[in-house]
Amino acid sequence: MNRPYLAAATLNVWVLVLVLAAAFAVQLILGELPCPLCVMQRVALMLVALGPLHILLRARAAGTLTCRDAAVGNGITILAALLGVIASGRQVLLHILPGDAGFGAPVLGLHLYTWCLIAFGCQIAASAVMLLATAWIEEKPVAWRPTGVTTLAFAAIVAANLLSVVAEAGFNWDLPSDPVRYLLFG
Amino acid sequence: MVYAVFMLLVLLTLAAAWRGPALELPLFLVTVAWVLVHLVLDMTSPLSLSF
Repeated sequence: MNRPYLAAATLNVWVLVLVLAAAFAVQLILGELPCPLCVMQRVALMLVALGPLHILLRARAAGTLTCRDAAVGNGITILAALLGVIASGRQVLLHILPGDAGFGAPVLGLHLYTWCLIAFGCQIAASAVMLLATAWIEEKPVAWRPTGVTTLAFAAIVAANLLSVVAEAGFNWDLPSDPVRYLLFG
Repeated sequence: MVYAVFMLLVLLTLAAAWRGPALELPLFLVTVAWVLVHLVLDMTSPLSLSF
């Protein structure tokens, strides 16, 4: 059961990397700069990914997968996803009145913050399933090669977002509520 | 810049997880607490984050 467990954790990180990359693509291709709450949701997605990465990195360091590491990793994910629910839920509520067009362009009929709320709910449900699956973890040696490239891909998307938000905020502590240009470039 | 600091903390937490578990959880909890405080402060004051 150890290898399917690590495969699920790896898949989870890659899904989150792809979600962050898709949000980045919307920003760069459609020219829609993320608002402060959108950036908070990206930060929450990054924090969520630290959960499965904890499981992968601990298994890599110890050479085995333990129930303790799996529990801590899923705890990280649930805590971060609850933070994401607060941020995305708040943005959904800001635009819930009839006649409100919402912030940004919808994707497949829903705004990005609504997709985020759904994603955070799915993360909490997935962590519950992963916690149940610890019942089948066998504490014996396991080698899992994709951990390195998965961690590097995640670090790269976080670094890209960091540079983007620095460009967007310029030398200001906070972002404007409705950003229209990169303040670092005037 | 505050959002860049949050992302920097995520990267530091990842680096801590890579090297060993000692600093990982404290860094994660500090980041979560700071993000939560940032959100709650915004909710309890005039709107500033988003429309």
